Amino acid sequence: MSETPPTPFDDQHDSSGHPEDHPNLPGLDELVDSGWEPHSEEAQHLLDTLQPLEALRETPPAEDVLVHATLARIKATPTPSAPSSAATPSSIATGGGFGSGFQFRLPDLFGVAASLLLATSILLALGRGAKLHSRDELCGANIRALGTAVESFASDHRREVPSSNWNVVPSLATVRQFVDDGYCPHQRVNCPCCRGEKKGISFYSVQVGPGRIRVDRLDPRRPIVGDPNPLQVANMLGVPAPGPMSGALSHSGRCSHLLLGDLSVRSSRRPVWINKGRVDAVWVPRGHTSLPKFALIDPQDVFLAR
Amino acid sequence: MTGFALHLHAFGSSDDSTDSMAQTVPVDLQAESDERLVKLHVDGQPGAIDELIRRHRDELFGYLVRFTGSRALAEDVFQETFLQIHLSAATFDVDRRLKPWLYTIATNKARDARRWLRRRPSVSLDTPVGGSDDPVSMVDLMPSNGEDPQSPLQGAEQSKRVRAVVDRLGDAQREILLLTYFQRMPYAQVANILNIPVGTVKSRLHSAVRAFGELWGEESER
Repeated sequence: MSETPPTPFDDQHDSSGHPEDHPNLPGLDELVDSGWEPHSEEAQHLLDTLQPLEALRETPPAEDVLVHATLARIKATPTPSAPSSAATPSSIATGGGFGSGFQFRLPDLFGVAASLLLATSILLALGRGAKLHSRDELCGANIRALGTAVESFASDHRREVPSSNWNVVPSLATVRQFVDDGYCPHQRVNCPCCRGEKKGISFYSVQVGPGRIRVDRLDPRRPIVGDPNPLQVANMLGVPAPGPMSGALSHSGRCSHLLLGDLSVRSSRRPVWINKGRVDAVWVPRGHTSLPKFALIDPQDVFLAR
Repeated sequence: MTGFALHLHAFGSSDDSTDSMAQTVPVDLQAESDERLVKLHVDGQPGAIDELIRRHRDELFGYLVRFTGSRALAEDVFQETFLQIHLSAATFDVDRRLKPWLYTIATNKARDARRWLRRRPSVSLDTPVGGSDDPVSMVDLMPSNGEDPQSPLQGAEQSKRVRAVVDRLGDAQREILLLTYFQRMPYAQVANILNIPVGTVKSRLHSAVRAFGELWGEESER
């Protein structure tokens, strides 16, 4: 085939656009309406363009053996009784053959949708659980890093460490001193679960006396650094203070990490009472509905509410 | 094949020829409309589906050969189409025309068949077999009932090239081009078959003709 008939749309080529955006070809509608009898120059031109299609005009006839085979299949297939409700043309026109014998019906779709929803929920829950677990682990690692920072600081400062009151805001700045003096990276003084981090207020709290104190005089079982004090965080975020039985501001009430006076780290999944007999810090996990009988908690008291 | 004057026992059949209520009504199947043949088939009239197939066999088979590009595949789709007609005949609305329904089923089956074939790539008959010194292809080993191998060569080559160009059109464009050009169907009927608006049929046909012209132009320049 050496000759190339000129196409009537050489100047309209636009292969990038949507097919249905193309302008109409003059004469084509006329050709279709007239049974492909050209009555204009444009129509004749289009017909010439499509002339190569004539090579497909000749097709083999359907052989008798094909017809017989078709009839044999039909006769071997009992006619189903007419359905009580009218079938839709599309459903009739699709079923059967070439692996498409199964037709989706509404209950099937609901079943599939419900299964997908369930699988998605499980995956999301698993993902959320893994994320929280990862944050818990990171928080514990941060507390351990702070213990190392305290030890290093004490070594360089005649065994003394900075201290402040436990439940006043400046105590947060005390931890910050470890960062400023290069004993601890900045990210190690932030609980990864605390929403206050963006405002720079999610530092771990330090419970030591005012001024400086020698580390060997610290009560070995008394927490000196812990997860953020939720009352302080709420105060600085400007949100209502959580009640003692409230849910978590962080960790989803799953655990608590404390650096004790002997610089060991305690990670607890159970409520923690400090100074038995006089509760000044308690971790109330999600799901608890009552406090111990000696829990006389003042909102200003420090407790590691979760 | 069929189309003879058959006898239908109306008002309930009876073997007793003396029964005055038993009437034999001759049915000239060839004179019946397509739609009426479907109704007769549902009613159990022997030969009705045979007559239906006889009427549409060549035209439908030609359409399927062009659509699928494979005679073997077209034969499968042909059988599946009439089997579906048989299975769904009871739901057919006799007030509507049969031909659009027939072509709707055939087109859907042909689309399924092409997809099915794409998922199961087959070995070409031109694949070399045997040793490398004088390679022969699988098709060379098959018996042929053809006549002169030289005479239709050029025509076959041309058909192959046109076939390749038509295959490069998408399903949506190809089926509209084939239905309008070869089956001489008007826009409304194609719209009915494909269950799309007439405007969409028009725009797709315009796109198909344009695309065919461009692709054929590229093919011719090779």
